[in-house]
Amino acid sequence: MRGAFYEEDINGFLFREYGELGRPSLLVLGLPDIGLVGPIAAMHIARSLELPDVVGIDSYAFLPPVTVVLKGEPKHPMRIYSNGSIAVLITDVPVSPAGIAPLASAIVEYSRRRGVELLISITGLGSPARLGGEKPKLYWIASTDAAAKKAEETGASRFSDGLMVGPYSLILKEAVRKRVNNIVLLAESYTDFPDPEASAEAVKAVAKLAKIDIDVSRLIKEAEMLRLRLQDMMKNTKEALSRMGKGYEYSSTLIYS
Amino acid sequence: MSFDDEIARILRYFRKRFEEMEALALSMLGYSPLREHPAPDLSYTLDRLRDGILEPLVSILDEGEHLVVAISLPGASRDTINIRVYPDRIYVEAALHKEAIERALGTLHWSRYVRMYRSTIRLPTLVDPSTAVTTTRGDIIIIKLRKAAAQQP
Repeated sequence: MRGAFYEEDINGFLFREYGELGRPSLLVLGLPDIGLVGPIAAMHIARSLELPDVVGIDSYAFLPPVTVVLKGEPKHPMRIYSNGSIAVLITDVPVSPAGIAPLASAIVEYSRRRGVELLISITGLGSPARLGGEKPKLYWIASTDAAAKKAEETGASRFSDGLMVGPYSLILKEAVRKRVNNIVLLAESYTDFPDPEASAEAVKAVAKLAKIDIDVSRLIKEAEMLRLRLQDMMKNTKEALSRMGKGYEYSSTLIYS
Repeated sequence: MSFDDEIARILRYFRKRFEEMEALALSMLGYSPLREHPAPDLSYTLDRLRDGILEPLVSILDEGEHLVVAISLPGASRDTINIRVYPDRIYVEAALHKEAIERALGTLHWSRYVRMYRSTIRLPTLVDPSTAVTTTRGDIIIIKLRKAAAQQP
């Protein structure tokens, strides 16, 4: 945990900049959700592009008292990795329900202040069809017309009707409120297991949006290893999701088309 | 009652009152970091680790006449997987590859104790074990079971 050269407190979350964030045009969010699709995708992007961690995010009120140790070096449980043009937010602990609203608002505000042009949220869409071996389908939701236009470049389908629960739903609402471009990528995924194959579909879409190449073959090859590595995170995430009413996502909307 | 017993009784009394006051204060605040971050139960986790056991992730899907139970066993040696289906539960056990553990968990200090998966999965409805059909998708074992006659929709 290197000493920060700049710190900023937003809604009880401290953003400690200890490296060069630059002015990234894209910030990819990997918050734990169904199938851990976001964290796996974000981790893969950070590793593939060899992004250094440059910002630590912490909150003594809303995050558990955790220090992550990586290669002997203490780190914040939530970190932003960046090469100046693309940034990735990764967390090693699920956010508590009480911390979701302030975190969502803090992420959007921090992105706005740092001039991020597009926030990309990656999440899973729990689907029983995944057990049948079907390739995960990818959908998108956008906060602005400009973000919707960008999202169409991915070739994914627009998510039409449904309910979204969890941190990404609040980030989306905050992005709409503050006119920040946010695309939510929803990949069909296993409901109870980490799903690297679903993450791979999301990574391909991010690569199109960033106009870069990211090889996902390693993600598919290492799917079994990742499922073993992320067992505990999946269990903790499921627990956190059920407490925040994730079950509502399986309800239908009142108004239908 | 000895003097020591009396002191212990008084201490217990005060500790109990203090815990009640603390609980009241926390409920009045409406927020408790401990409640907001209910970490995995430490004693339970330590007990499992002492035995070197991981509990596999499980997904249960109700398909009307059938129940589909998916069990994720990443890193398990395929020839050691032992699954027994009962009307109300499924017992699963499998040995873990040492190399898989080392690769997945790296230098995590507790990982060297982990050696197998074991779990008893309680089913939400009664099933007919003789109807079990098992398929695999990588490390995921999928068991399709017909519900017992009385449980049919």
